[in-house]
This record gives sequence, C-alpha cells and structure tokens, in this order.
Amino acid sequence: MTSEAVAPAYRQRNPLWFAWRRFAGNKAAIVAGVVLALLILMAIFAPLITPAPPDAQLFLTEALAFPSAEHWFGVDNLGRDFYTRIVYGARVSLTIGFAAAAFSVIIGIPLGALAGYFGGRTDWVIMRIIELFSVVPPLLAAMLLGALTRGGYFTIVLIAALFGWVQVCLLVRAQVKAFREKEFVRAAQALGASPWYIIRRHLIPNSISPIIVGFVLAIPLAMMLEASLSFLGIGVPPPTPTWGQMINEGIDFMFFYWHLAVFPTAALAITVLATTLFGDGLRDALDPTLKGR
Amino acid sequence: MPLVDIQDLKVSFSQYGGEVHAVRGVSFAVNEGESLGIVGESGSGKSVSCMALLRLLPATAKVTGTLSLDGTDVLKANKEDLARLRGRSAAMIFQDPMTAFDPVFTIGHQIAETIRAHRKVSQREALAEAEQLLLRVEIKNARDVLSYYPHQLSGGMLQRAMIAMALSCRPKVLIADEPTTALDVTIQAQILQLIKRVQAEFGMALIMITHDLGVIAETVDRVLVMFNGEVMEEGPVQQIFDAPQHDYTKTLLASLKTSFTPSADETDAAPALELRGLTKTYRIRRRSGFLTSYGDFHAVRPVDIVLPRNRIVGLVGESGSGKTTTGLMAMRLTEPSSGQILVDGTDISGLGPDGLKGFRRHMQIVFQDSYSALDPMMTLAQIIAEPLHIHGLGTAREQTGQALDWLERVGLPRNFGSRYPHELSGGQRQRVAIARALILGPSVLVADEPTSALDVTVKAQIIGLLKQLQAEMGLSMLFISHDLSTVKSLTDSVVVMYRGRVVEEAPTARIFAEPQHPYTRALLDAIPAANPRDKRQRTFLAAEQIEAQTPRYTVVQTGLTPNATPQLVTIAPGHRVEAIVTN
Amino acid sequence: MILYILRRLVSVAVTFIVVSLIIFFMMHAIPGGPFDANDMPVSEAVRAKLMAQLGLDQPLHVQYLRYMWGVLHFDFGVPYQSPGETVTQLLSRAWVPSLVLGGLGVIIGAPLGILLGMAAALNRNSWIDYFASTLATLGLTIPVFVTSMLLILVFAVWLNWLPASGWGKPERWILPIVAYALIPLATYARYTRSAMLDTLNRPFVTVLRAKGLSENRIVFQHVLRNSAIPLVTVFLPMFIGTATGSIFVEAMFRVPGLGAYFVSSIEGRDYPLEMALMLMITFMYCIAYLLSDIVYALINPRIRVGGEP
Repeated sequence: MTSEAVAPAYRQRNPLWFAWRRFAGNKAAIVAGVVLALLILMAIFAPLITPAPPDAQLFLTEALAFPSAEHWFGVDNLGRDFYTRIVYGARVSLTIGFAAAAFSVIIGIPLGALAGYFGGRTDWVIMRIIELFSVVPPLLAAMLLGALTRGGYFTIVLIAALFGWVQVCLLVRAQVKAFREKEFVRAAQALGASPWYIIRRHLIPNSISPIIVGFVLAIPLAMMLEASLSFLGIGVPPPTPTWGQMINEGIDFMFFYWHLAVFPTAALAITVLATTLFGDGLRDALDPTLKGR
Repeated sequence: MPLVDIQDLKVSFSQYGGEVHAVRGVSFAVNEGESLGIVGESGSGKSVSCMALLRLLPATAKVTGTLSLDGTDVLKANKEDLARLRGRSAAMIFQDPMTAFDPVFTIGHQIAETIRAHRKVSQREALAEAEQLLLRVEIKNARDVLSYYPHQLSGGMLQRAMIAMALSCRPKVLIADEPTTALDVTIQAQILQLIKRVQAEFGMALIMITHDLGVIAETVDRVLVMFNGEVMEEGPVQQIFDAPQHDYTKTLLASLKTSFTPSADETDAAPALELRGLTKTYRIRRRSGFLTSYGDFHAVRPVDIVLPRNRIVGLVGESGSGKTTTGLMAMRLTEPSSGQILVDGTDISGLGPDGLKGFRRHMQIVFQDSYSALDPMMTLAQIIAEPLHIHGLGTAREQTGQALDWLERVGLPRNFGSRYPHELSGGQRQRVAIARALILGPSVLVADEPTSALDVTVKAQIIGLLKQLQAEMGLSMLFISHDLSTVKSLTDSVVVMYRGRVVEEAPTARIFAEPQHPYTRALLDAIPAANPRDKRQRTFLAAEQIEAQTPRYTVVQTGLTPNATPQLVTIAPGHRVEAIVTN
Repeated sequence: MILYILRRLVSVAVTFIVVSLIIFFMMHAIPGGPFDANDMPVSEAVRAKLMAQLGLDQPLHVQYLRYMWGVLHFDFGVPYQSPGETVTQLLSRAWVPSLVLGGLGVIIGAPLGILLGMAAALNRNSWIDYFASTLATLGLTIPVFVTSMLLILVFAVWLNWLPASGWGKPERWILPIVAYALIPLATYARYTRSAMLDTLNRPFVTVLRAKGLSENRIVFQHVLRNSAIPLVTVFLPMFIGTATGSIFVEAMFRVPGLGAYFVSSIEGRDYPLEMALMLMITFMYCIAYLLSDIVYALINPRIRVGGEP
C-alpha cells in the first residue's frame, strides 16, 4: 500500500485478472452471462414489466387464448396472463437456485477444507458421508423428502442444498489437497501458524476458483430439482407460479394449446442453459493449470 | 554433406499478448560421428531447435528456415518420410524418463513397437531384440524388465531403457535433451559414460543439450553456446573452455569456478543447532495375498549433527540419503521418531505448538521449489511481511515498511512490493523466499536445495546473496544439497549422508582433498570435469562394494573398542568417518 | 487385490444398510398412511384389522427388522396399489420397459458420444469440435423433459412421423430411446474430448512421435488406452441411472416403467413399493460403484502391479 506503482506494461496482475481475460475470450459464456443478467433483472423488476399480478384471474373470458399483441404469451386455463406468470416464475426459480447454491457452498467449503487439510480420519468420515449421498439417486430422495415435508419454499431450498453440497465439497477438497503439499503452506507451518490460520489465509483464497465454479454450477441443479418436484406436484404449492408447475399443467393441454407447455419449458431451458454455460466459462477461465499464461 | 544441417532457423509461438520468439536465426551443422553440445540456460531455445528438427513442436509454433536431416528437407517432408526420419535417422531422449513412457504399457512392449514401426519383424523377434538392447545399456535383469511397467523402475533405470528404445532403430544421430538433469550425481556420471559408449559402438553422431558445462566437458567435441534464441559462440570444446570469446560464455564459465572464503572466525562455544540421535522411521504395509505385514523403513538412522554459531554446514547426499528429512525434522516440520533437537541449548523435540511458536522465530527454512514456495494469491510485500503478521510484531504499516526494506536487501526494487509471484523469474522468487525467511532475524537457517532448480548463472548469484547475508547477520546455516560443487564455494564444513546415516564429516577443504569414505569418494569422482582436459573414464561402485570398502581402523588408532558394525570415528580434528574398528 | 475388493464390499454393505435405515424411517415419518380417511374410507374396525394384518401397528424397529429379513429372501411384500401380486412380481414386470428403453438409450448413445468426443479432440477448434461441444453442452443442460417434449412436438404432433406414446410396438420405442440416448451421448462426448485432450498434452505423446510411430497408432493404441480409464468408471453408474427409467421420460411418453411406479407409489403412500424401489435402486448404484472401482483397479497398472521389483 505504500509502494509507488511505477508500473510499466503488464505489472500488478492479480492471477484473477488473467482469468478475466480468458473469460472475455469465451463468447458463449459472455452471451450466457448477459442473458443471465437480463433474467435476474427481469425477476427483480417483475411488477414493473408485467401488466397484472400473477394470481389474478382477470381474463377468464379469454382463457386458453394463444399469444397475441395484448397477451404476449397468451392466457392460461385459469384466465391469468401467461407472460406475467412466466416472469414471476423466474423469481421463484432464480431465488431457489441462488439460495440453494449459497447453502451448498456454506456447507461444502468447511467440510471440503477440513477433509482436504487434515486427511486421515476426518477425510475418511467425510468421504463416507459423501458416499451415502452419492448412492441415493437425488431425485428420488428429493421426492421422498418433498412428500415428507409437503413441499414449501424453504424446504425445497434445503433439499436442493442437501444434494448440491457434495459437488462443492469435492471440488474444494481436491484443491485443498493439492495445495496442502505446496511449500508456501510448509513455510507458514515453519513460521508457527496454526492450521486454522493456514486454511483461512492461504488455502481458501487459493480455492476461489472451485468455489465460484461450484456455486454457479449448483444453481441449475437446484432449479432443475425444483422444477422436477413441482412437475410432480410436490414442489412449491400453487398459486405461486413456478415453471415446473406450469409445465406439469401445460402437458395436459399440449396437443391443442401448445403455448401453455412451451413457454415455461423454454424459459426453464434457457435459464439452465445460460447458467451452465456461464459456469462452464468461469471454470475454463479459472482453471489453475492455465494460470498466468 | 552434413548429417544435420540447419540454416537460419526461426521459431515463434503465439501466446497471450503477442508472439514469443524462441529461436531467432540459428544455424549449425553436425557431421556423421561427430558430437555437438548445445549449452544454454532455460529460455535459450536449445531444446526448441532440436525439436523443430524432428517437427515435434506443437501446431502453435511457426517454424521457418532450412532444416536438413539425413539429406531430407524436414519442413517439406511428407508423412512417410517424417516417420522414417523420426527414430531411424534421428532418435531423441528426453529429460524426465518417468513421463516419457506410456504408463499403461510395459517397457518391453514400448521398445518392441518402436522396432516394429520401422522394420518388419514379428512381436517375438522384436521383444528378443529389446532384451538385447536392455542388456547393452547395462540393465542386468533385462528379461524381467521387459514386462515391467514404467512406474516400477527408478529414474536411472528408466533413462537407460529410454536410451535402449532410442537405439532400437540404429539412428544416425542421437539427440539427448538434458538426459541427466533429473538424476542423482553418481547415476548421472554412469549415464553419460553409457551414452558415450553406445555412441562409439553404434557409430552415431550425438547432439547433447544441457545447461551444465561439466556435462559438455565430459561428452562432446564441439560446442554451441545459445542465449535468448541466438547462437553466442561456437567452437571446439577445448577452445571454448580455455579461450572464450563472448561475454556470455565467459559468465557461464565463471560460475563453474568456485572460490572459497571461510566465514568469520567465531569462538563462541555453544552451537546454534545440535541434532542428537535423530531418527525417522516409517511403517510400511506390505501385502502378500491375504496377509498384511508391517515393515519399518528407516529413512534416517541416528544422526548427530552440530551446527556451530556463525558457520555454514553443508549436508550432502543423493536421493534416499535422508538429508531432506533430517532438515525437515530439525525444523520440526516432520516429527522425529526419536532423538533431540537442541536450539541454543534447549531441546525443542518435545514441545507442543505453543512452546514451539517462540522458537520458530529463531529458525527458518528456504525450500527448493521457489514457485510453490510463494502463495500465488498474495503480493510480494504481503508474503515477506507474513512472518511479522503471524507473530504479531508491529502495526500493519510498520510490517509493510520492513517487508519493503527486506525486498531491497535481497536485491529487488522496492516497487516490486505490489507484484505477484508469477511475474517473477525463478531466481527472483527465491530471493523473496529468502527475505521472508530472514525477516524475523533467526539465528538458524535451513536451506533445502535452494539453488537446485535454478539456472547456472542465477545459482551463483543466489549463493552469493546467501553468503553475504550470512556474514551480515551472523547466521548459522545448514545448507542441504545433492551437489558437492555448489557446496564447495559456500560451506565451512560438509556432512555426507548415505542411506539415512552420516558417513563422513569434515571441513570443506579436507573433504575435497582427503576423502576417506568410499561413498564420499564416489560422489567426488562423479562430478563432471570442469575442463575437457580432465575428462576420464570412471568405474562405479555398487552398494555392496561400498560396504565392502568401509575403512577400517585399529583400536590403537582410535582408542575405541572393537566393533563389527560401522560407527563414526574421529580421525582428525573435525573429521569423522564411518568405519569399522578392528583389533 | 482381493483384499481391496473385500474392503470395498464391506464398505458398500455398510453404506447400503445405513441408507436403508434412513429411507425406512423417513418413509414411515410421512404423515398419513395408506388408509387415510380421504383416500380409502373404511371403518375404524376394518382399518385396525388391516393395519394389524400388514404389521403396521408394530413398533418401527421391529417393522424394520422384519422387513429386512424379508428383503434377504427377495420378499418385499405386497404393493398397496395392486394387491393381486407381490412387489417383486410388479417390479419385474415394470422394470422391463425401463430397462429396454433406457438400456438401449445408453448402448446407442455412449458409443456415439465417444466417437463424437474423439473427433472433437483430434480436430481441435474445427467445426467438428464446435459442433460436438455444443451438442454435448445442450444435451447435458437441457432438461430431459424438455427434449422429450420437443421430440413429441416435432415428430409426433407436427410431422406426425412417429407415435408419441412409448410402450408396445417397437416403433413406439424410437422417440423415448432418442430422449434417453441424449444424456449418455453428451456425457461421453464431453468426457472423451477432455480426457483425450489431456492425454494428447502429456510428454509421452511427444516421445511416441519422436519414435516415428504413425499418428493412427499413437491415437488408437496409446491415447485411447490412457483416456479410457476415466470413461470406464463413469459407465456403470450412468447405465444404472438410465436403465432405472427416468420419471420424466416415462411420464411424457406414458411408459409403464419403474419411474412411473415410483411416482404413483409416493402419491399413494404405497410403502412396500416405495421402499422396494428405493432399496433396489440404491443397491444397484452401490454395486455399480463397486464394480467401477474394481475395473479401474484392474485397468490401471499402477494399482494392479504396484511397488518396486
């Protein structure tokens, strides 16, 4: 902080800056990022961009109408403006996705760091727990849990987090294990630093890339889980609009009123695609083997 | 018509933020049977030039110039010609034998397929030939080795197998790219001798690429000196060594010469660091069928080492000698199985983390791998200030100030403080590591092969820096190395370790002048010559021979009781040797 | 080697038992039983008698033990929704469509994916590479019910080439198999590409070229062998995942397979069926992981032939 940065050419490049450069070269990821940002904005400003509240059955006389200039996505079977429902549905999906991903990260980072740093018994125990979670097919177990708790917003977030933390944990564990043998960790030990200091100061900052990647890739998983549960009728209860519910209802009408199934499906697919591409782009950009070059 | 003729070779790679010109207009030729050495430091373009000769460079490389091998224009060659050139006209051996073999196939298979790629023979015949080749490269149990996988062999054995594989098609020229850099000194000497022998037997030309002038002196007739992609100087080897023309060549040669200035005299009695009876034993599980048996691997048998105040002691040995483990135990980064570690008279071997923390300020360590020694996400100033931060000394501003002071002290500009490790060269990173180690003002510094990964000229600079700092701070330094020649210019006394035990210890001058133990002699013998004049044939001792030649002293000479097991015997002031005491 | 297998077996068995315990207790914690007043109005006396008959009035741990004992004899009880047969019979009937459609999906999709991945890796940055990568990404990110829906819309509704409901005559199988095949295809394309690119960057490949081997030989003998290791370990779990039937595909295409029954068992609180399905699928995953580990140990010489000579 006291240094005068008389910096010629390329100085002072934090390793993350290189990652940004790499990311910027990945067109698909940039597009995905922009789409994602748009979706988030749409969800936040939903009331401002939709003509009516999502539950209001204002258009019963025009129920099942096809898309028109007045109703961009048409009207659903209960007389609600479909475009409104889709936009509000984004709120549900995105918040569930981000919240679940956040929880996954909160659970996954400490467990991964502990397993990676201490190895031995700690690692063994954590790996056994992970094994437990891997053999049970997540969707089926989620269905079971969903039935147990009768759905509901917060429970779905927890369920999604329950199955998302494993991936974050494994990523962090692998990174910590790899870095643990590096000599700067040994040097810190030689200076008398405690394990907690080393984990906090050295290992976690160096695990930023798997953490970010894990977080971003957990979002589409959570969204898919919610959609699947809603699709099966045990997700977020109506009348809160979620895309999974809408798909479920829309299938029954699919042969004649295609718009009821296609729009929520397209919305979900685009969101999942955007988040996954963005996450992939991040992962490629943050790949430590390409650092600095 | 020369066998290899390269004219105006230029190679550039397109990378982030522009082009990198690895080779800028290099020309040289090699005739049949000749041996040419290409010497240069990392980044000089020596490997790239030879890889271009066989078109082994990745697609991102742009190659221009005229490359002629065995009468064929390499750049214009089609697939069949290229396949013939590679392996039959020229064969190449590489630096790291472990990564050079395909891990999922046996050695025999990989040699046999090389043979069958160039000639029509059956698998059985090819394997038989492979066995013969392995015998010629001095692998005694050739038949067994045929069915071994790469991970089952040691580095030296793998390198021999790679040489056998390269020879399998009777190439006209053998290109050796730093073939011994990853090997122990005694193995290196053996491999170099082997290469010379097969070159003569097979009548091949040899291109030896290396950064080590000693290797050049031992093996080649002509030398090409490269720096930064260009040829600096070229000529017969004796001339280059005796009368170098170019400044760069002179710098390279200067780093070979070692001058020794002993540290200031200090009659202080108490040693700064003393290791008594330190051992390290690992339990290994061996499985045979259903049973699991436990064996003990003695990495370090009891060692006693004394590091006097204000002195530099060298700890020398090859891989497996236990020297690094000993160094780590002294710092208590590895827990000793038994023994005492006395720092300024106090035994720290039993202290818990809290008690130990106070002592940590007095002992520090510098490692070999400078890249992984610095946290890539921290700035240099943060890295150097970290010790102060951990021990809570001074405010944040003071800490940064001290860190920048130290940055200057190790020879780097102050404004580097906000840079990150990946922006520095290997030598610069090592300076930062040294600054970090010394900022707390320790009395003991353990240096674990700090220069082994550095270029020759940089090596000399770092050693110079260490000497200077040691004199300024009155440090006691334990310098661990596998390289006796580095040790020669730096240390006051040398401790030689072999297979977990100390076999000889003496002041540096005496070790080099009058080594007593056969292993010490073998180590000294294996050092490549500093001048082509001095190159010679060597005989190598196997482990059993080293044991058989353990020096023997009588009771009268030593004043000790007779004992069949070897022990450390003082034969002169400050000179101990492992010997057997007889009647 | 044998010891390694035994240890893994024990570990798998323990995991399985723990999971079965959790599932069992969780299921019985779901409020409401099969004879809730709304679903099946019966009088209290009849209800009590039925509960006793089915053993539902016993304490939970006793129920668990009795149940697991039955499991060892392959007796999973009788499903509530179709009391005319045992669970075992129902499952063996239901598994056939899932196995056929899902299995064929994997068998067709995986090799195609490998070929695609190989082509992409060997022709880096060409149109093949972009095409394969895009296809792989789409296949993995677009949810399977979306692809099913698209297939139905395009081929059944609009073009009217193929029937939309999936079980019966073989031509009905085509669309569901395509829907199933997309995931293994995408997964393998991706894995193969990255595994091959990794291998191609390793030093020994340069050495192989320096020896004068033909590019074909290098790729098909050496690179493929080295890349195959991660691919093999992924196969079994993926096969199990697909062959047990996707809930969505079966719902969309009206296939009477495992997935469909799973949904109905949860909706109807059909304990025996639910339990059996969960246990069976978990067990198969356990075995799949176990076998994958063993195969990995066999293929990788470092594990098969460890240590110094």
